[in-house]
Amino acid sequence: MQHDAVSPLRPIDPVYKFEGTANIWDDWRKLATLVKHLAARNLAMRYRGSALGFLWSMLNPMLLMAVYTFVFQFVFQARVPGIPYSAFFLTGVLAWNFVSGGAMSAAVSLLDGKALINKSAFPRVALPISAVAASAVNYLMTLPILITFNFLFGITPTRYFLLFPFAFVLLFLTALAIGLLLAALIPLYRDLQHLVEVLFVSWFLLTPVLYPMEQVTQNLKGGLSFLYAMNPMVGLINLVHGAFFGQPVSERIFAISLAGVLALLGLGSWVFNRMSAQVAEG
Amino acid sequence: MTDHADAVLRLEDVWRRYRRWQRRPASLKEAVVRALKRDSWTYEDFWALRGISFEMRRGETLGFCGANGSGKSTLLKVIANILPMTYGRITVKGKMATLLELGTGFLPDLTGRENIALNGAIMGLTDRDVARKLDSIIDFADLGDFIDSPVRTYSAGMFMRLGFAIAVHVDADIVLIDEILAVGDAEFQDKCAARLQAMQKAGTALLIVSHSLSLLENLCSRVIWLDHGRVAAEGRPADVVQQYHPAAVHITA
Repeated sequence: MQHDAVSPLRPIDPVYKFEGTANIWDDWRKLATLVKHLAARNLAMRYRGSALGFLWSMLNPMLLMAVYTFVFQFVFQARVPGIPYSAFFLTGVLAWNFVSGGAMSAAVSLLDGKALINKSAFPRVALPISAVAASAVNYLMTLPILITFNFLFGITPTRYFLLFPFAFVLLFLTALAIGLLLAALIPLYRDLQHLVEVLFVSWFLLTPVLYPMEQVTQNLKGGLSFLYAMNPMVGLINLVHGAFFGQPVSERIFAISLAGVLALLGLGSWVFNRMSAQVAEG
Repeated sequence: MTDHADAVLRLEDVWRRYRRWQRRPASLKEAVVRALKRDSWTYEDFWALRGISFEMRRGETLGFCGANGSGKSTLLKVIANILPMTYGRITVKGKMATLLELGTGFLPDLTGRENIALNGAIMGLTDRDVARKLDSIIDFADLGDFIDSPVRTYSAGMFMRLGFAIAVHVDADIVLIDEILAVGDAEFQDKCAARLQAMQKAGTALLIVSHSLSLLENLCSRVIWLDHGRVAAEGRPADVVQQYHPAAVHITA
């Protein structure tokens, strides 16, 4: 029989058509169910065997806070106008940990979930999404403690706290955007993981967690200030501070950072889809 | 043509290519160096499916036989939309459940019970569906205490039992089964055959890949012989099997 021909004479562009009663919601509902299961699994593994497990995830930031407060507030004599340094730092660093932790967890999610990919009708995007979702749940659980802590330092929530849900969604999207980008690249280039860890440290320093944003933007000229604000975490952390402390939020900086978030999300999604298509090809 | 209206699955001139890029860089450093040196990218194409066309109706059982590497598994994955096709048109009418490689859709560290929910979700069941059917699935799989052990401790047969149990509870219109029925023990194979026959009567379309010539002859109304990605023969099971494996000895009970 003929099996030496290698291409069709009249190729039909690939079309997979589904006729029937199923609707678009089925796919989304399936994705949501899978994300829920995987995120629950992720959290269960993190807190395996410890009843107050998530309190341990507060321990690290609080230790950092104690050390940094000593170094910056007493040694460097840094001051954040109107806010105790410890409260300022803790609020920022928890939001930062959400994004960096979520992104890193999403980055390795395709490696951890290798058993599911390409062998069943499993939407692989569920893996990075669930990793960021797990990080989000973790962050939300630490909030009551943060609010209590701030309260002890004399900070009470103002109506600006209504900004927080908005900030939370944007933090989630930022973590997802970076997570998708890394998740697509890390299985292909393993050495990227180490590079990323180093970059995250630098990124942390370029984000106003250790210092108030005004200290940078007031001393930088227009162009550099714009560059600084292109780091989406700058505007977002500033928004988080505004939500918790009632401080004014720079709309200009926020707009630049928001554009950065959306651009990152577009880039991350595109790279992830390209990678998925390539892996499926061969 | 009234035939088309009954079709639950239709493939038209489906081709699938695996493109292997040679010497893919393994590290970012290597990729950058290669880009700077302007090395050329070469690739090799392997056509796993060449011009596959067929149709299936409600309640039909279609069998596939062929040598290892002839494209049977690729075909099922393309039909299930797990892998994309390169050219062609596939039309599906109804819900699909798949039973492909052993242990697909299972996370090794989760228990059998937890994996039922996960695997069910992958096949489109909601949590409520899974909760409703959980006891029936566990009962069918009949794994005893192992249902609560992590699936990395499972043998091939246990994977198959669990996978099959889940797949038959999905209430699918089309079920794809790839080469794994032979892994179960004799008792479970009987249970599978009985269940498959019940599904056939209920109108479920079955697509079975098997090396077991007796299974193909007993369960299938039609068999396709796949050779190097092409449909080499299609027709009654006994005839096609004879063409595929002329030396086959038929054991009649």
